[in-house]
Amino acid sequence: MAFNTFIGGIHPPENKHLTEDKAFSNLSIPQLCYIPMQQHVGKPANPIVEVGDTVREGQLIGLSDGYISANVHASVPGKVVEIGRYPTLYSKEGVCVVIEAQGAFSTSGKILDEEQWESLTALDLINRVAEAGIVGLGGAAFPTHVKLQPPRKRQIDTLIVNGSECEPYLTVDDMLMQTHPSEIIEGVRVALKILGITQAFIGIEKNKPKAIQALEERLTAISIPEKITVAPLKVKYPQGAEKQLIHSILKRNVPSGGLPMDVHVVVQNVGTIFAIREAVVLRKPLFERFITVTGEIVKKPGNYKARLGTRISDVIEECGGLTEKPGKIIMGGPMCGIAVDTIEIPVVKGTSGLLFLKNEEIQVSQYRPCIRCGRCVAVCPAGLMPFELVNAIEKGRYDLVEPSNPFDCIMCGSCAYCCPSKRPLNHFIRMAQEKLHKKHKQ
Amino acid sequence: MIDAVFPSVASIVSITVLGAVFGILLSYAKIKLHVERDERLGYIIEALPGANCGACGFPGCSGYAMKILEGSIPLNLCMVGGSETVEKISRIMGIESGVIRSKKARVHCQGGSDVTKFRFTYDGPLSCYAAKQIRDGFKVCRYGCLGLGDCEKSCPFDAIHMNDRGLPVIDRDTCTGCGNCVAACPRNIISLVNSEFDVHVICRNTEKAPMMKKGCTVGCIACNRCVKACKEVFADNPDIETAITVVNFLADIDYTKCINCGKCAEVCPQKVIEFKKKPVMAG
Repeated sequence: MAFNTFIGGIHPPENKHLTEDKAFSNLSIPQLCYIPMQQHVGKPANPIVEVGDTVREGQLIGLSDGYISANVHASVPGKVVEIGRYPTLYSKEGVCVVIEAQGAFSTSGKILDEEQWESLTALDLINRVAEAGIVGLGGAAFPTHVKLQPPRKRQIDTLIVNGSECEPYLTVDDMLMQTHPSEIIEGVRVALKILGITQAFIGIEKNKPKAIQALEERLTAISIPEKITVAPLKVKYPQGAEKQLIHSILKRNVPSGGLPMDVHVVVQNVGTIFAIREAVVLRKPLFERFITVTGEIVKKPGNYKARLGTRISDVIEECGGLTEKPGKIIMGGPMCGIAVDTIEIPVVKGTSGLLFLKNEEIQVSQYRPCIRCGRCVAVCPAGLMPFELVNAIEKGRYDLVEPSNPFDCIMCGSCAYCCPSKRPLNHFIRMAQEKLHKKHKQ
Repeated sequence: MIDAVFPSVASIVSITVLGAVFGILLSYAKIKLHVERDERLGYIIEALPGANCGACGFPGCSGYAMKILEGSIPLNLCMVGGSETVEKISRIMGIESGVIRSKKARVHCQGGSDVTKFRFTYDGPLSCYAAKQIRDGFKVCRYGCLGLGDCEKSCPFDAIHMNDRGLPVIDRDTCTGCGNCVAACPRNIISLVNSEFDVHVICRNTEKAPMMKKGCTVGCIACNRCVKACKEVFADNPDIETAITVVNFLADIDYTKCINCGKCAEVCPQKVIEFKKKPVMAG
């Protein structure tokens, strides 16, 4: 059988062996939880608690502000000791609610009642998803309830569940699919009901045979009216990028400047699907998530369940510390993740992993001029010509940049990865995108 | 023989005929499609400096010249040409022009790489704008110069150069006050100041002194000594109390009151107020 894949892409070293076979374990509760009000794309939530308030586990503490925004819940029970500005993943000073853990846990460690959801309407289901503050857990953190409600004009016929996990090092989705296949399938069914369709694909890269097997076994064991298929994919980065995934599985091309719904598809990460199921069936808001803590210098690398708001410093302590001073700490995977400058940053909804790299593993060097070898053109999954774009950006020729579709760039970093001159091509393009956005606003 | 001559005769004849036909067509078109053009346009374009820097707010010098001819646009927008150009244009147009105040760009930061601290190593594009995207810049100070030279690249007159400490140095004689560097700086460190004044606050940090000191040793500590010195200068003047104030832990000079005496610079312990008495410049 031919592998399902897309055009372009790279094969970075996977480095998944560090945590591949580590089952989930819980990180202990941090003494102080720093919960940022901005954990998603869009407007930050408004804090609705005050200093001195006692909060329950999973209590709503930040109310979604506007259409593209999401609710934020307390990750630990306890007392609100401060509402202040602290460094977060998305800004140097973001509003955080600081909770000191104390009191009893109402949901953790208990078996929650499973509710029957089949009789609920799609609107009820979407309300539950919105209330639970679910956002895309793959890393982009786009509010899920917005994504699950495409405009009426757009006919949706397929849901694609993204289990490809093409980022090197990360194994959290892999482990989730291995250990919770029936929950994921139930989550897919909930999402299908919300969208009012019956067809779904679960795209998984071929380097996760256990996950593929677990889901397929589960799918054959149960009989459901929906048509859910597991689609094995070629191992290639960025296989898990929305548009590339759609091309790989359905051979549909999202038009330039378009969204997946233009080709009648909605894409959701497996982690998000799992959270949707928890929100709908267990009525549990999103206050904890699975993360991979990895890197050669971590004493106990593994897949963990972490409370949102646990700071990196607490995570390090919990994982047995580091063997040496890290050269770089990245939230997310090494390709698309965000490098952080302080270990006081808390884990947020979009954190799929924490990667600690040694000094020898990172390269800090001055980039050199473009030699026009064309490797970036060969690997660009979006079909751009990165070197031409960047040379124009470097010269400040924005009149040449705009017709070359800089907004089609998905920031996968494949071009920068393969550049022999070590040019930070995607960063240049990001800069151009922001400058052009500003220009259009004026 | 005739075979060899004939083609050349044919080509000579055909080229001559074609030339004549097109010549007649073109001369007919010149008369028929003639566009009445104000001859002053050429004079104005000649009077303007021709740098096409865009400081006047119009696309290039010819764009500004055309707007002048349309009227209702002040004649004194060309900062680069200065009073000389304005005079020339007003003579061409026959209207009285406004006064032009010559302005110069001024850098409001002295935090070079030797006195500031870095939070992390930055290896992205050599552009301040790009560096600011990564966790709000790699320096501890969130207000200071990033030193990657966006201003240097934006200067159409080659008046800004980065020194070895990573700070821009503006050549006052070459600077025309076009303001391109002001727009290019993502940290708002450069501003246009009337060139009559020689005294400037060269810090933009609005944090309290202990916070500021974490990242830089040469910032404003808001000690208020400059305010005190200034009050003494204006002690006899009942209208003005002081020309320098400390707002948000940062000294701020009100140039409508400043008399360019330089007393504030003398008392500043951090040497954050720069006072350079310069020879009177033309323009």
